[in-house]
Amino acid sequence: MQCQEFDRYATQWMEGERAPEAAEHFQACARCSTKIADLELIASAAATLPELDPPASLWISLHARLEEEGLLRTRRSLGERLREYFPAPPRTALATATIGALAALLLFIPQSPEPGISMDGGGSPSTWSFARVHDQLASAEAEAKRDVRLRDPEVVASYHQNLAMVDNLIGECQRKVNEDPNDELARQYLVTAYQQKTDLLSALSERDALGD
Amino acid sequence: MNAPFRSGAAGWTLGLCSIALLAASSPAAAEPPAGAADAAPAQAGTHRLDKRFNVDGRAMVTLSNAQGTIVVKSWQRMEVEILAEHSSDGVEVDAVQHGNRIELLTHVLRDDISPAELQANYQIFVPEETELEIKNDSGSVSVRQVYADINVDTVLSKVELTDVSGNLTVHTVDGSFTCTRCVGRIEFASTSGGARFLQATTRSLRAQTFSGELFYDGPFSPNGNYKLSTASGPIQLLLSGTDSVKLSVHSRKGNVENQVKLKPESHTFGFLGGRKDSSSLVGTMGTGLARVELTSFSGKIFIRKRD
Repeated sequence: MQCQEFDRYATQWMEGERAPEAAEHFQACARCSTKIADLELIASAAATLPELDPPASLWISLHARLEEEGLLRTRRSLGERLREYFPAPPRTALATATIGALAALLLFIPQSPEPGISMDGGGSPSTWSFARVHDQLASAEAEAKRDVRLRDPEVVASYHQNLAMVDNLIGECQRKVNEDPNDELARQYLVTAYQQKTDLLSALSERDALGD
Repeated sequence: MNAPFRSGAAGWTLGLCSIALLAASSPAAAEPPAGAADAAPAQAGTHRLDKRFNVDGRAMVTLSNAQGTIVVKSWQRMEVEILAEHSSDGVEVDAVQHGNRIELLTHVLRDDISPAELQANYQIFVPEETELEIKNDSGSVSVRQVYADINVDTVLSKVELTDVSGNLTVHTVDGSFTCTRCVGRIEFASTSGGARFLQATTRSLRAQTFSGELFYDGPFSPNGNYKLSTASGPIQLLLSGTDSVKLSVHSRKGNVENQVKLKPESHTFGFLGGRKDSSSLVGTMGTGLARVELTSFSGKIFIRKRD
């Protein structure tokens, strides 16, 4: 068995299946055994997290990414989905909460929705509550600015400048969408900008957790 | 797990050489015995680690560093050599081996450390098929002739990948990316960093930045998928008469400037149809084997002839 095959087998492995060829590869391959160890760490950490009501921003971010990747039509293993979002274990409260919410979302997302079916429980993408997303991200940003302590002022300045730039784009796209709700490209960029802001805040939090 | 080697321990070499000098020197020129750490003091104020790890299969090197110059090159040995250097006592380099996985970490020892003291520079020699995961917030990252998956995550670093192949993923906040003769799947995402793709051989390229510039000059593989997207930054694509591409270009508020002859599509993309303040172009060159999508919100898009 090669690493790629083992990757496809990871879900079964995490569920306790141990095919002999997979076990043999697991024993011999440091890369795959490390990946499994990481997944087990995430799974055990996730099991201890309290149930959270995931913020709408995560729906937006997740939906945009899944759609972009074509994953709404493709079944992927839990391991693959977890690895995509959580390359490293979370270390701060903000990152932990984010990961917990995302993990919960990943676990309960319908695996193969038909194209066009919305992810928000009834409405189409046009009914997404951007205002709610905006408020929740603003709250996360305030939390990050208050709690995160990075040592390199250039890095801090870069995060702040880039967050401000993304905010400007959000404002501009929001205006376009308000003017014309059918402006599909403005809507897509608005979703992308919210996703980018989520990513920036997550990265900021992760770097803080790693001590710069 | 092997015992970690630390830059702050007695085994440190105090070296005169900067990483730039290390980069210029041949890796084979100064060979400590395999598996041993150098320990020759040279100059006060500089800490240097020289450590080799034997590997017996596909290796993986992970590096987490705050600030500095990272240079990774391949060689023909089944060894990973780490040359690390920093001038501050406030940071320490840990190098740990778990099987074929080598983990490198620069960590901070004091809370009152100044930004300048965070710097640690690395030169790393690896077998050709070594996976790399590099985090370096500021400075630069350069990788040459490594043929396995490479993942670089940075805030401000300038990233250069040259003659590499595999799944290549680069995320920056503000750092630029240059990909020269890269082979494999390429993904770049940034907020304000730009990217240049020069003579890449890929069937899957996805590049996204908000304000940075994207530039592509290279061949297009049959059935390849190339997506370049910016919010306000410009996009520049070079095409030659022998390319076979199906091109979709959309800018919501910026201009599209096209210098090449395209066969217009009978079915146009409905995104921007009819908007007075938008630009759109859909057409085919040759038999349209590769699919190329260029999208910007307010940036200009240039499609130019390759000389």
